[in-house]
Amino acid sequence: MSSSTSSSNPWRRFFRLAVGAAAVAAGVIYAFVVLVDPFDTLPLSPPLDRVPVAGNARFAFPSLARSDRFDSALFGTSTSRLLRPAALDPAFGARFANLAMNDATAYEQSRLFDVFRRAHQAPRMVMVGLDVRWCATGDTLEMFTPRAFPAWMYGANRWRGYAEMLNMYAVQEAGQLFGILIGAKPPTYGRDGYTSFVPPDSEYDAARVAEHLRQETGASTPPGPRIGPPAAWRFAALEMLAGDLAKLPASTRRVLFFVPYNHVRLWSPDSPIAAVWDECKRRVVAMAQGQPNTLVVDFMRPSPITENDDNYWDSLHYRVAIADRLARDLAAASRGVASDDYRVLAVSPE
Amino acid sequence: MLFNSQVFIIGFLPIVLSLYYALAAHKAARQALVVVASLAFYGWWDVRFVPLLAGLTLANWLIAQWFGRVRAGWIPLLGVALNLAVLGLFKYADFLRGTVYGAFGGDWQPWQLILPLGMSFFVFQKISYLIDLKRGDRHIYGFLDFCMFVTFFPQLIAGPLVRHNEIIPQFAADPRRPEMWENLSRGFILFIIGVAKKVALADTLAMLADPLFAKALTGPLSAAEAWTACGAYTLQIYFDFSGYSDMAIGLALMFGLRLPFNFNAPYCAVSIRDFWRRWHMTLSRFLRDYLYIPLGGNRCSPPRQALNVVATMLLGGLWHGANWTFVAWGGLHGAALAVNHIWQDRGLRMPRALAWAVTLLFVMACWMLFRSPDFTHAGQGLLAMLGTNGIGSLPLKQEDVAVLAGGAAIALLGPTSQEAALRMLRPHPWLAVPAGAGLAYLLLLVGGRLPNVFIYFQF
Repeated sequence: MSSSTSSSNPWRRFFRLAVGAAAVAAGVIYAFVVLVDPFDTLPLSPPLDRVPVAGNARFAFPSLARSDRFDSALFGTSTSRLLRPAALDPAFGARFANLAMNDATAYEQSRLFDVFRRAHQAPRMVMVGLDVRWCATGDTLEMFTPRAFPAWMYGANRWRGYAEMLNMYAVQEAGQLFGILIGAKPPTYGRDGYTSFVPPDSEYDAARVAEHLRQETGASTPPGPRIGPPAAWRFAALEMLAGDLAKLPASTRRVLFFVPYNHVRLWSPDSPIAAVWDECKRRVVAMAQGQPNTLVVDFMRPSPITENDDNYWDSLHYRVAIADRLARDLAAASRGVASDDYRVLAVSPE
Repeated sequence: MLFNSQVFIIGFLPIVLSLYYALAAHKAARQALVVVASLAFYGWWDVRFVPLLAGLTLANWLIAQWFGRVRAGWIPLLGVALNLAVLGLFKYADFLRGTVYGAFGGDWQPWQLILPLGMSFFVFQKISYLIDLKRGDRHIYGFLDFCMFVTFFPQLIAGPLVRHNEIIPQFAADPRRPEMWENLSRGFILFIIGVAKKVALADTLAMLADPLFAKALTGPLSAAEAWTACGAYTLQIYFDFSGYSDMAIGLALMFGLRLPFNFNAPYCAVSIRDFWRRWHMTLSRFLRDYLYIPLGGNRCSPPRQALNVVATMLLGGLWHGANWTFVAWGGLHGAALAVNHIWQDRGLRMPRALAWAVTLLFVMACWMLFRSPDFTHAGQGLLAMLGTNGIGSLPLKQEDVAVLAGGAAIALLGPTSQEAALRMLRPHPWLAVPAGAGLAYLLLLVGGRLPNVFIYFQF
């Protein structure tokens, strides 16, 4: 070996130091992330007392969906997000995880449902909050939003996760969870997935809400093409939901509810939009009648809840006290009790 | 497979590089390794196109062998025609059909053929070799030499456009020669610089430019928005392409091979001729040697000379993409080069600062055309820059300002990557450690950035 390739060569030392520094830095960061396991999804991670941390629930909830701490789950979007498992559990005698994800498409909810179903052969209850996303018409299904969706977390192969841990988001979330684990930070989510994303009720400002609602006028309209009579329309998301629910055993109680939009988002009965919602509800009822052990409850109608602006933060999101009232209403509807808050659209026996 | 991907940096490169040096003493073995690795590198993107790449490589080699025996001038031309036909089919068929149908009317459905990655570079490289043969070059290479020349993965996808006679002679040199560690070090640092330019600068600038160009498709931009979009894209395209070239040159150097430089501080140019001596230098060289000079170059009358340069640049523009906006972009640069020739021939002078500003403004205006999907939006963008929609305002985040200011400073004031890595770099340990740590940070960025926080609820 010539002198310039020998160990005294400064370039040899330089190269080894540079490569070594890269390897050590990347290795230490990677080791930290996989040990903390911020999404609680890796097969070999140490048994730490993890809580959901990811701001994007699409990352945080697959581990909850797999957890055997729950025998029931609630799916939906932010319009179902405020339903507290602590209120649902005693009402139904179940152990709920709130798996509703802000702005989730029907497809994303279905993927999460699939994770839950694979991990729970015979769930006690499955609850789905139905809103505008489920009533979209047409052949095509909206799959994702601009938010990242980690498809690898939703598959059966959890080893795949080791290839997804070297990125800024995983490092950030590992840092967050580490802070919580050592007691330096408070948890973001509850262990059952529940988080209140609205401000504390003490900050409620009726005048500000009224201003919001004044700006948000206009009935909520399901997207998608609609050609021909309503009976000819296709509701791809509902077809997917029917397929998902059919995979559950007959013993599983299925509760579907149309969420309570504020009256500014509701429609006049003779409008073209009404025809879409009416047909959507009709399809949900037909679907329920084809499923065992299913209840369909409609809060999306003029009612003491939806007509009172003081119940809302904005036209889609109600206050926490209303969420607890919904939990009680759902339990009452399940027992066959009538109320002005809702209308039972369908009940099918086990 | 992208250079700036984790699978390349953590997996492919260390494995291939280690095997290459393990086989260094055996020329055929190390070359075979590089060819196989390059085909795997290419197939990672879409394995269906590997047979096309391999087939074209074999066809070009056979044509060269045939010419070596027969020495008939039409044989290389046949090869040129073959390469152009493949490029024309994949890249320009729909463009030409659309133009014809647009002119004469009639319904048509695009074929929507997928352009194999790197095809434009691959074809130009082979054409240069075949034309060199036609011109009397006597180099008829062995199969492995030719395959490695064609498929060598650092330059396979996006250049630099390497000539056969500047790289194939290097294949014979044992990579474990005395300067091995220096080559590895300088190449590694140049690669890191390239990744940083691409990932930290270009991709961040794209997050600023892309939404503004998207907005321009749906409504008018204010002057503030249009200038920001144009400025961000001007820096983005430079850091993106020059970063890729830096990665390619750095990688090749790690294998003990020197590739030609491709960029030399182009936004410091003080004339459009100067710009094209600094921007995508290997393409400029190709266009000069294989189009402009055969058309007559500088040896004809001034009007013919102007016509030659415009024609050359029109074709150069078309090479960038199958759209009339690219052709017009090339034509504008060609016209500017013709004016530049006349200006210089008449001995006219301009203050250096003014010449720089005029050149940069022209280049930026042309980038607006290059980036826009059609002439309408390009025109609207340029008018917006002139303030026809009002000055307006654009609240920029701190990181946007930082990347714009930092990017401009690096592009205008900093040393070029090759100066920094190949000339200025000294083997100090205190440089090696932060460089390696920097690569670790870039690996995280490559893996995924922090998502934007969605402003979803505004209670």
